[in-house]
Amino acid sequence: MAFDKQVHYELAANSVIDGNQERAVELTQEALDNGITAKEFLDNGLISGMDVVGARFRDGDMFLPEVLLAARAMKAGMELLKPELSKTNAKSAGKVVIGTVNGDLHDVGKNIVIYMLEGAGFTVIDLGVNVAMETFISEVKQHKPDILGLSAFLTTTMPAMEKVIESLQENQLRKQVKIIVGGAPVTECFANEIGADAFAEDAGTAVIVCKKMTKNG
Amino acid sequence: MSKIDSLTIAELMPTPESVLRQMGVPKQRINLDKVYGLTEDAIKVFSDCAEPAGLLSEISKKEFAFIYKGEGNNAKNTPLEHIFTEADNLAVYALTLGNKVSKKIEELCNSDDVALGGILDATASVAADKGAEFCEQYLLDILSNRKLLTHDICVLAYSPGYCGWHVSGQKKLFHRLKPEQIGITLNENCLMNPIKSVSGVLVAGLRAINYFKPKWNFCEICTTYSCLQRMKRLRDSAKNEKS
Repeated sequence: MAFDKQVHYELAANSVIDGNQERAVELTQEALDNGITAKEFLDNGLISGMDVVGARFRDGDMFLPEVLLAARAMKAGMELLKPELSKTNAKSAGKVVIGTVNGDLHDVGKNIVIYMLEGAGFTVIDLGVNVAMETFISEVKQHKPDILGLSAFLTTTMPAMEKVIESLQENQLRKQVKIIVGGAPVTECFANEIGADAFAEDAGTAVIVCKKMTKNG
Repeated sequence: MSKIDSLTIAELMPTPESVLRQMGVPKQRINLDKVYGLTEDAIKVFSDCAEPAGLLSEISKKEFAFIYKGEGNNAKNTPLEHIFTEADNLAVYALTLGNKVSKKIEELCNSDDVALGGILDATASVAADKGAEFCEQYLLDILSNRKLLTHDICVLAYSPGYCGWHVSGQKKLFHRLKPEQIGITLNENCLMNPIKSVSGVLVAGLRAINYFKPKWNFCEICTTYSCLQRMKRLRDSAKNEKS
């Protein structure tokens, strides 16, 4: 039977939606073997599947553990595509620098956001936890990201977000980067108060907001 | 002050159902094969690396009033300031699941297995909640042994960072309880390390003193409304006692 690209994309998208890691890897390899470019397969197969997952999560039809499995399947497929993607300099959906602010050691929520952003085709630079204000500034200078993501899990560490934003302004960097904030105690009202561009209450929303900010949404 | 020697992993083991509920999965979706299987894997990892330890110390209302005042950052009017004054007995407590669990979560997330890491994180959160419940029961048992329990007495835990009790209240709590002896430290932002630790006050008294409506100023920014689940637990236990 002739290889049908559209059917293959659909099967790949479904493997991601189902969180079927083995199937996603198998279909990715088959796509490469049949001459589909990595970028084409990523966009039409794997990312297309993650888009469905993101929409279902937002609508309450999928839940976090299912989303994590979907992202895992997506990333497993993507690992096979990486060598070709880097050879062809395929354009990513955008570049995001992200970290948990100074004094805060919570990283699971941030890591889930990273997982989903990568699943949506973003290039993500993870600065980890307990990130000093100076590190955020130097990393923004170095990587020139489209978006800076700041995470905090405690009311006592939330003020560090504001300090990072103030420091970006002092260093004339604020206008070159959009800022998204999130974390358990963070609210939209707080995001507005400290001058962030956006707030996301969960990982699914973070992806949607980042897409909008990079005009991919 | 006493270490809670009877605390073991077995006391804290969550079920896959409780972990998935914690992650927002509704009851009718819990039996999804893949998700359920991964949750069982996470629970197995948890049982291999959790090293629970707990500490409890009974205190007077006067002593707790000092601890509760903390650094002066509490909301102006909170349920706990009314509840503890009506308590029969109080104790402060701390419990940790140990450093290995936190390290394992970090390791999984950094090795690109955020799925298992994320579910392990939820598993540990459920276990920490069970730990707080274990401490509640532990104090109940102490009071029972002293024949201090009367009908409708319960014990409920309250923690800094919730319901208007500012997280900086941890400082005075730690000064009094010294949880460093079970491996819990506090950083300058009042974050406990290991992260999967809980601390607070155990309030023993009539169930009714714990009931309140979540209409305080700080409720507007609350994302969990876990107080409602806690009050439901009390009401359910009262019903069970009657039946």
